[in-house]
Amino acid sequence: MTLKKNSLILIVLAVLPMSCVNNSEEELYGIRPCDIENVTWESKIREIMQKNCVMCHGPDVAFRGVRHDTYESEMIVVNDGRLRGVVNHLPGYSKMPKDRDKLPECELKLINIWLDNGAPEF
Amino acid sequence: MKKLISIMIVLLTFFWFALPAQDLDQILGGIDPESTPNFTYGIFKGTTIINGQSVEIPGHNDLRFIVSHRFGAVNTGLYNFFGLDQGTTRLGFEYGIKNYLSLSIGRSTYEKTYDGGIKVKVLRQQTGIKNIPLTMTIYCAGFAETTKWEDPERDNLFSSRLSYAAQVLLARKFTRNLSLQISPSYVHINLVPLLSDQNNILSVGFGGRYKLTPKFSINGEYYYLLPGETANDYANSLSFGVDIETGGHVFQLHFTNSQFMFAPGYIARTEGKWVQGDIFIGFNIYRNFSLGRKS
Repeated sequence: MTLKKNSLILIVLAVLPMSCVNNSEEELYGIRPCDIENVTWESKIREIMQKNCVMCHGPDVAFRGVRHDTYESEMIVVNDGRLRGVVNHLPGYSKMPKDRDKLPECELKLINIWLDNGAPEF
Repeated sequence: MKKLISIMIVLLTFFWFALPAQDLDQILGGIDPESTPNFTYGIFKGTTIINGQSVEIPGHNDLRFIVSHRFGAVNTGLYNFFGLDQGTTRLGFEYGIKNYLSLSIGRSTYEKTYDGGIKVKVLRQQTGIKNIPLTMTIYCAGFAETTKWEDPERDNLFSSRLSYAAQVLLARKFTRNLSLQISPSYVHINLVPLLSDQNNILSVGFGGRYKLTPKFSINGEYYYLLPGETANDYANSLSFGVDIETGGHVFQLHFTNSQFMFAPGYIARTEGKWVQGDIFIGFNIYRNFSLGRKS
């Protein structure tokens, strides 16, 4: 019995590292490095919002009165903490973008950096 | 007269305590203390010091159920009730197959991560027949995150979900109250974002415990990332806490800058900075079940 147990453990230990690989998304999928320099509303964030959010929260449709098409309207959800909560899928907030996973890692990182830096416009 | 009575009381008290001790000495006189192993027990109270593993493993046939929780960052303000509105949880089981061998499984809500690990106690601190100054335990574990693919259209690989950790845990109980541990650690992450990011990460952990009463101790833990891209992008994990033992439970309450409760997370992905107030309050609760005869 002990031999069987020990053999099983050895097999598990031997198999586990077989799935060890050294991959990067950049190499596998050609993803460019995330440029985190000069993150402002005008330089980076407006484009992310336009691509992911404005279809439901813009001038045409503004669910729950939230809009992401202008800096002024954006600052409402920045200041009350909702933007950080919804994009990071924090407990107690709706998960955005709706019915999708979190934003791609780089876009999410840029939003968080922008919020950490006080959400500058320029 | 009073003086004589006082002297007699003192002498009687002395002999009252001294005589049984003399008997015990006579009994033990036949046993050579050099011929029996004198193991050091209870280097740490739990199988984790705070986030990281300790040299301890569950006893033979003991099953431990562990509930771990980290609230959100304290600096998220009153709106999030200083982090209490947010949190992550890990549920885990550890089972002692032998006195020197245990297996563990667990599941964390953070990135829906499953983990499985093995711990082998290679050396035990002892005096007597052998004089071994420290306890050494080896910990190896695999981790699988199971969140939905960020981009389902691309050719996603299952191996991209996996990461591993291996640690050599070396600890010594210096006095009845003070135990210290050093933990050289290796973490492997199968998929990283950039070519310049590290798949293989080395770190050295330091941990300690000081017992203030038999059932209460203060603990500290620090994981230092060796220089590299990971050390540039992430913070070293630093945690402080207390252990409280109550019957069959051990409560560990702590403050940490890492919200992760599994090795690749707290070693290689800690983002919180103490100076910026990124402090997470958390706890681990242990419940022990004895499932059979001890060896």
